[in-house]
Amino acid sequence: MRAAAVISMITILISGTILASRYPGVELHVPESDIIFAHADHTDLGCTDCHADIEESADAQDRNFPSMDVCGDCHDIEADEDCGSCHRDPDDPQASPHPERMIIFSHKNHLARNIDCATCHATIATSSEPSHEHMPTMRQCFACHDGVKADDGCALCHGDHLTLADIHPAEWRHQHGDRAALEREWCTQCHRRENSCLECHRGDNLTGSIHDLNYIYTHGLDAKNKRFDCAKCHDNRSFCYACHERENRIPLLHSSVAWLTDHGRTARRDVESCASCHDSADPTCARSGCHRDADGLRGTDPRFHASNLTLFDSKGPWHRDDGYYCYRCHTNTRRSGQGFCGYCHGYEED
Amino acid sequence: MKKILSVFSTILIILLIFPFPADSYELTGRISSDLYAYQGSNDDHIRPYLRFRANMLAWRAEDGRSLRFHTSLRWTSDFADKLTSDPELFVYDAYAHLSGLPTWTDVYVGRQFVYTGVGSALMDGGRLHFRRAKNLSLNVFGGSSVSSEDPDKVRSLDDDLVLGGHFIARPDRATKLGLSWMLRRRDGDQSFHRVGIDVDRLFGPAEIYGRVSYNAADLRLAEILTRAVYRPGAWYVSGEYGWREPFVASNSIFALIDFKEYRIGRVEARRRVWRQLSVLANVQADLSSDEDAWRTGIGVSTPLVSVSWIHQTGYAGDNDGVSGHVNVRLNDRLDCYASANLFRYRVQQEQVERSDAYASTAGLRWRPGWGVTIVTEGQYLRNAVLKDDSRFLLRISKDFSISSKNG
Repeated sequence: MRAAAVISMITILISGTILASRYPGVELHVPESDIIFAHADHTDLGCTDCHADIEESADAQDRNFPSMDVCGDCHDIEADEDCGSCHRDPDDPQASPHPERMIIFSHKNHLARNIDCATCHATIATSSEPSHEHMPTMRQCFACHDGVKADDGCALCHGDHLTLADIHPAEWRHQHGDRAALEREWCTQCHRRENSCLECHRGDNLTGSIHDLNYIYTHGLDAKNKRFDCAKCHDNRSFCYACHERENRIPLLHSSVAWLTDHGRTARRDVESCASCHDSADPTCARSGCHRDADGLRGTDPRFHASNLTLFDSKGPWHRDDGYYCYRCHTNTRRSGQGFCGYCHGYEED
Repeated sequence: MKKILSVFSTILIILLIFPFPADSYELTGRISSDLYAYQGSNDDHIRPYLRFRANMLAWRAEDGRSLRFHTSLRWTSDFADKLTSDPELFVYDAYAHLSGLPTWTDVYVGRQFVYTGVGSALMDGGRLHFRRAKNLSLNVFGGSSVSSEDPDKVRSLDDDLVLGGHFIARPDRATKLGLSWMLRRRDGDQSFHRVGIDVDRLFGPAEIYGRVSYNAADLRLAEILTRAVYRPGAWYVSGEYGWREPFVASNSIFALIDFKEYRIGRVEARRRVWRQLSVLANVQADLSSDEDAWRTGIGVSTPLVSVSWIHQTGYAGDNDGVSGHVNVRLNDRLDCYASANLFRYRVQQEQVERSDAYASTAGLRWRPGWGVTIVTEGQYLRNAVLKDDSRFLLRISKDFSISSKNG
C-alpha cells in the first residue's frame, strides 16, 4: 500500500506541476481603451450633456458612450494635430471599446426611480482616466438589491447569460479555500447567508468536501486534538454514540488493566469524549454501580466530583425536581436529616 | 406530530413547483440525484440520494413587502441492504419568510438554522429579525431543536426547547459588536444556557476578533476566544487562542466532573507566491495539561494541483499524512480530477503499531448545458477495517433560476 501511495503522490505532483505551469490564471477582462479622458476635467457639464440617451437606455448592451461628434460640440475634432489630446495613439485613433455585456441592466429603470448617477458611479467625478474601477461592483448593487428594497435574485441581472461554470470553473472546488481566506469579501458578495458554506460542507457530502473518505477511521485524531469543535455540527450525545454502539467500537484504553484506576484522569483531561458515549439518561458511571452513593453516607463511595462541590444556593433545583441528575447517583430520601439530604441538612441523632 | 414536518415540506415543495400567479416571482435552486455504490465492511450497498434546494419569491409588493419560501432537504435509502434508518428524509430547511410587515421586520416560520455568538441550532420554530436602523439588528427565535436521530420528527417544546437572541450593532463600517443569548432544554431539563459578547474590528488589512461567553446554567465563565488576522496583499497570517470548557450538557452528571478546560492556540500563514500558486503552514497546540497535543501542516496549492502534509503528535494521537489533488480541464465543459491521501496514524498510545488509511478518487465532471452537472467518480479505500473497498458515485444535478421579470 505504501508503494501505491508513493506512486499516487509522485504522479499528482509531477502532472500537477506541469499543468500548473501552463495555467494562465484568472484575469479580469478589461479592454484597453485608446481614449484619454478625465471626468474630473468635465465636472461643469451634466451627465446627460454627453450621455444624452442614457435615460432611455433599457439594455446593458446599449452604447452609451458619447460619439466623437458629441465631443465636437466643445472640442475641435477636425484638427489633425490635436488627435493626441484624446487618443493615445494619434496615428491610429480608435473608438472606445464596446465589450459584450453579460448582465441584464436598464439605466432607464433605475433613473426612473430617481437614483442619482453617483449612487452607482461614486468615483466618476474625480476620475482621471477611463477604468472599470468606476463601474459599480456587485456589492454596490446589493446595497439596494437586498431582497427588501429590491429583488436580490441572481436571475434578475444574470438571466441565463451567466453559468455557474463562468463563476466557479471546474477547478473551483479545489481552489476556493484559498480564495475564501485571502479574498473573503469576494465570496460574500453572493454567499451572504450565514450557512452558505454548510450547503456543501455537510458531513453527509459523499465527495469528501469536509471530511475525507477514511475520516470514519481517523476522526478520533481530530476529536481529541480539538482541531474542530465537533459539537458545532454534531450532537455528541446522539451522533457519536449511534455509530460506536452499532459498530461496537470501544477505545483500546478501556481494556487495559490500569483503566479501572486511571480513567478519572482521562475523564478530567477530555470529558467531552467520555460524555459522547456514556452520557445517557442512565449514565454508565452511575449504572455500573461504581459511582453510586449506595449507603447514603458522605465520603464513603468512589468520588465522581469534588467533595466540596457547591452548585447552587439553598434553593437548588434538586429540592423540587425528583428527576434531577443528582439522583442518578444519590438517593432522594425526601427527608431532611437522612441520606443525600443529610449531606447538607445534617443527620438525625439516634 | 411526526408527520407534521413531512406534510409541511410537501406543501412547500408544491408551492415551489407551482408558484403563485404573481407579477413578480423568482425561483432558484438546485436538484441533485446521486447513486453511491460501495462494498462496506459486511454488505454491499447501493444508495440513492436526492437533494433538493430551492428559494422562491412568491409575492412582492411595490413597497417592498414580500413572501418567500425556502427549502433544503435530502432523501436517502438503499437498494441493496437497508440500514435501520432507511428510507430517511432529512429536512435541513423548510421555512416561509415574510418581509416588511412592518417595514423593518422579517418573520421566518418553519425549520431553519439559527445562529448566535454563543451557539447555533437547527430548530422547528419561528424567528423575528428586526432591523430598525441600517447599523442595528436583532434576531430573536424560539422553537424545538431537531435531533439528528429523528430528523423527520417535530419534537416537543417542553422537552427540546430552543430560545435565543442575537443583537448586532455596527457603529461604523469597521466595527461589529454582538450580544448573544441562547437557552436549550433537552429531555425536559435545561441543558445549555449561555450569554456572550463578541467584537470584530478591522484595522485596514488587519482584523481582530474577540468573544467571551458565560455559562449561565452553571454560573461560570465558559469561553474566551481571540483571533487576529492580517491580510496584507498576498499574505494571510492569523493567530488564534481559545480557552473553553468542554461541550457537556448542563443537565449531565459529566458537567460535575472537575474537568480541565481546553487551551488551544493556532497560527497559520498563507502566501500567494506566483499567480495562483499558494503555500501555507499552520501549527496548532492543545495546551490543556502536561499532556500536550500538537498538529502541524504545510501545503502547496494551485488551481490545478495541491499537495499537503500533516504531522500530529502528543495526547491526541500520532499521525503523518499526505494528501494530493489534481484537476485537469479538458475543455470548457469537461474536466477530470484525481486525489489520494495516506495517513499513518495511532489514535491511542496503547496501540502498538500505527494503522494505515489510504483513499484515492478519480472522476469526470461534465457540464453539458446551463446549470447541469454530471459527475462520475470512482473511489478506492484501504484501511484497518476495509482491506479493499471500491466505490462508485454518479451524480446528476440541475440548477434552476426562473424570474418573471427583469429590471
